Order: sequence, then structure tokens, then C-alpha cells
Amino acid sequence: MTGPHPCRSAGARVVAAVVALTLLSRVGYGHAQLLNPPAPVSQVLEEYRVALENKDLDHLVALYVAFSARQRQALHEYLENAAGLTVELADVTVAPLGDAVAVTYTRRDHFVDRESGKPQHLEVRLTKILVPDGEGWKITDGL
Amino acid sequence: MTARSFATHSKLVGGGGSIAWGRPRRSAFPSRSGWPVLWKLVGLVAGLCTGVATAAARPLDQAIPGLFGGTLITTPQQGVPNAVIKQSQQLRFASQFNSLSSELSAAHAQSPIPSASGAFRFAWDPELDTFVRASEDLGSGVAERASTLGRHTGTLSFSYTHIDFSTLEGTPLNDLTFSQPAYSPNLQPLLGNNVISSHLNMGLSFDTFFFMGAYGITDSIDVSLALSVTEAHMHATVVSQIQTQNGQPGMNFFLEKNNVLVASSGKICGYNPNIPNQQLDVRCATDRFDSSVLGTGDVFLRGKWHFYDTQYADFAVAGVLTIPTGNADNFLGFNDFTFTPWLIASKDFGRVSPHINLGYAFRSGVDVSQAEWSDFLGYHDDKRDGINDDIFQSAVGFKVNPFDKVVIGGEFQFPLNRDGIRADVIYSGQIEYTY
Repeated sequence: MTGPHPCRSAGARVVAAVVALTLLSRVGYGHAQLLNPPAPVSQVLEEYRVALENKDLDHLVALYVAFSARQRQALHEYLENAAGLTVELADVTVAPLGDAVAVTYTRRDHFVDRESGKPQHLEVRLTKILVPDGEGWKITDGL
Repeated sequence: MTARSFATHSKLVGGGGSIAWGRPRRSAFPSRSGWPVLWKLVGLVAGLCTGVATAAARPLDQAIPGLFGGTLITTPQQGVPNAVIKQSQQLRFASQFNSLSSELSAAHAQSPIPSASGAFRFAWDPELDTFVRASEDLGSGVAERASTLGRHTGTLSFSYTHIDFSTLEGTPLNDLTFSQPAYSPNLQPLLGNNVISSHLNMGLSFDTFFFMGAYGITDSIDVSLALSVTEAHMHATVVSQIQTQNGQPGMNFFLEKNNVLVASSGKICGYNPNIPNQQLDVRCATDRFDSSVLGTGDVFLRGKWHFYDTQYADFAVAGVLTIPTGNADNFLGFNDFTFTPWLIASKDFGRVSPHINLGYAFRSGVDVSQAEWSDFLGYHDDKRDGINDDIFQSAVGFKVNPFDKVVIGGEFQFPLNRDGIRADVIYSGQIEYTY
């Protein structure tokens, strides 16, 4: 009687685990609702993107309902260190949330780290809550 | 949420050796374990560059089986050089050490190799609602983290490891005993059931220098290459005696002529050619050797992909291809190609950075396939022969960043069990430069 070869079965388990984790890594970005963002929301996002690229802290702060001094300091440090920053917002989806909307998008930052001189490529998937504020919308919170 | 950028990690596994120079010695050899590392390196490089040393008379894996020239001859007739009744005996521990060679290569391959440290990384801070640049901790010296070096970032490193094996399956290497019948079963009714009782005092050590280069192809993919230069030093003294089952002097003898042992090597205990007509106990024979080999090791090629981040763990996979350029007969490398896939998980939680590495070394039947893991360190043989089957090690170490792009570290490994051939402490030191 012959059983499975120990090397082969152990190897198969490792390969299976790797494949499973690879597949799982793709699941996290799945979102059921895909809506075209309304024009006002798109405008906020574009202002946000351009303000980041221009390192316009005052404009960025104005897009938020509240922005702490600690947040401002952290953002200032990040922008100061990011030479030639370009920001891309992609895969935007919007879901109504009462009077507010939940906006989910992928943010990709490309820049050169001033301290090391190394090019950087960062990517993060974010969800922000936007609420009506006068004529437009403002960012209140993130998930 | 994913936030990925520069990270700093990469490690290669090492072992092995190829072009071999040896210095066989059959006389007392002063211990070199006290040499400073620098002098060891100078000696190794000089040996490699000049090629002054000659090749070993026989490979290290044949040194112990070759004691007494491979066989001892027992006879009931003392002082008769061509006794009619005699039997050639191969000492049984010789066969045990034959099977140990691949395990020794595997044990040697456990020596820690340089683990690339990094400088900084960016992570998304949800509270501050921005990316935050943070200095990367310097990482473990003997295990991998999931993070990679980052695109166009490279490291060069150099490390030194000293392994002085001290026990074999829990028994001190300098106090190994073996017993076997003096005659085969068909001769025992005629010649009695005396035994050959052997005491083996042996030592085996490795001084290994690793050279490693790693480079980030993309932000999430590293490749690296490592090779080693190793000096292996092995010595042994065996004393074999013919005894009764109760440990009293036996009635049989080793074949000799005028107190000179009839064997390819070795001598009757106490024999001195400068003392004529010396009466010796020809139920006792002894032999010894003291050999060193110097050689380059196997080449290790590695790729690593940091593929997924979660809130609680980041994941990477790595593959290590070992090219058998080392001389396996001298315990400096493996006989055949090895491929080892690894799954790596880690995460930074403030000042604590837990990580786990799981791998499986696919090797040929000549070598030993192993499941490997860290932290803690260890491996598990697929060759269930009772030797080196389950190895558990612990490690402590440090890394410091004295200059901007230079990291210096040291590690000490301690055995958690005594399976296989083991060292009380494995010492390692490394220096690394990131560019």
C-alpha cells in the first residue's frame, strides 16, 4: 500500500496556501455598488486631488468639515517631503447614506522622497463620508 | 486598505561550498577557534586567492569511515601477523557517519544569513488622514518580514557565522561510544562473544562568510543572490578495545606484528616506534585525524513578492533556488539543486513586529527535504532516520544603525532540543549597506 509522498503532499499544501492567499488578496477590492459620482462629488474629489498636487494646505483644510492641527502638521510634513507629487483618484464609487454620501476610491501617489531621493508609488483604497455644506459638499470622516 | 511602498527586508539562506582546498593533518592541531574574525577572513581569502593549500587527501565525509583505514582485523592469536583465524571488521559508527553527511549539510545550511534591513516606509494613517513616513525597524537577523526593499533600492551585506558542533543526538561529540561484536555470528560459537568497544572523541566546526546582494525590481518584488566561503574543520580520535560483555579485557586481539597494528592506519595503543621491544596491550587500537577544508559554497538565488496587506498581517511569498556549486563531500553544500518556497507573514504593532516564515525545501533523495520555519527557528526532516529529524532553535540578537545606510547586527542561536548534530551556540555577525 502506498500513501501520498510526504514531500509532494507537504509541497502541495504550501502551494495551495499560496494560491488561496493570492486569490484572497483580490477579494478585498470588490464592491457591489458602482455609481457614477454626481457632479458635485466629482468636483470635491477633483479639488482635493489638485490641492494635494499643489500642496495647497489651506484649500485642503477648507474641503473638510473639521481638520485638527495634528492632521495639518502630518499632512504638511508629507507634502513637504513629496517632490513632484502627482495624485490619481480611480475606481470611484458612491453610495447614498441618508443626506450624506459614502465615496470610495483608490488613491495613488507618485513622488520622489526628498530625504532618500527614491521614487515612491503609494496606493490606498479609501472611503470618505461627504455631507452637504451650503452650496457644495465637505469631507467629514473616513473609514 | 492597502498602503505599500518602501520597505526593507530581504534575506537569503546560505550554506555550502565548492572549490575545495584542504589541509589534512594527522598530528595535533592548535585550535583556531580563538582567532579574531578578521584574521579568519584574511586566512580564508588568502587561501582562496593563492590556492597554496592542497586538496584534502579524502573528503571530510569519508574521514570517520576511514579511521583504521576502514577496517580492523580481530584474531584469537596474539602476535601472529598472518593468523589463520581472523576477521576484518568495519567499525559500525562508520556507517552511521556515512548517513550523517547530508544531515550535516542541512544543519550547516541553518546558519543565519544576512537579512536586509531598510530605512523607511510609508503607511496610511487613518487618524491623520494622510500617508506617514516612518523609519523602518531593523528587523530580525534570522527571519524575514513581508516587506520588500522598494523599487531600485539595493543592499550589500556581509556576515560571519561560527558553528562548533557539540552534541550528536544529545551525546557530547567528544564522548561518543559504540559497541559491536568482535566476530560475526558464525564465528562467535568458536571464538566467543567479545565485543569491540570504541570511544570516539570528535569535533566539527564551520567558519562561514556570506556575501549577499539584494535589489528591488519593483516596490513589491525583490531579487537577491548570496554565496559563501567556508572553512570546515574536523578532527577525531578513536580508541577501540576488545572486551568481554562485562567490560573486562577480552580473550581476542587486534591483528598485529611486533606491536604494530596490521591496518591501513592507526596503531596499537601506546605504540612508540622510538621505544623498541615495548610490550603493549594488543586488545587496544587507536587512530586519529585532523583535517580542514576551505571552499566556496552553494549559490542562492531568491525572489520575493510582497503581495497582500491586511490590518493584522502583511503577506509575502519567496522562492529560493540553491545551485549546488559547493562540495557536498566536504559538507560545504548540497549534492543537488534545492528549491524552497516560503510564505512570510509579519506586521508592525508599534515597537513589536511579530513575523512567521514557513517553507519547504524540496531536495533530491541524496539530500534531505525539510519543512522549515521561524520564529522560532527549526526544521523537520522528511528523512525519518532518527537523525536530525526535528530541530528547534531559539535566537536572540541585535541590530544597530550607526550610520545613515549602514546596519550592524549580531545573533546567537541556542538549541531548544538536542536532536541531530547541534552546537551549544551559533554565533553570527553582519554588516549591511543600503544604497
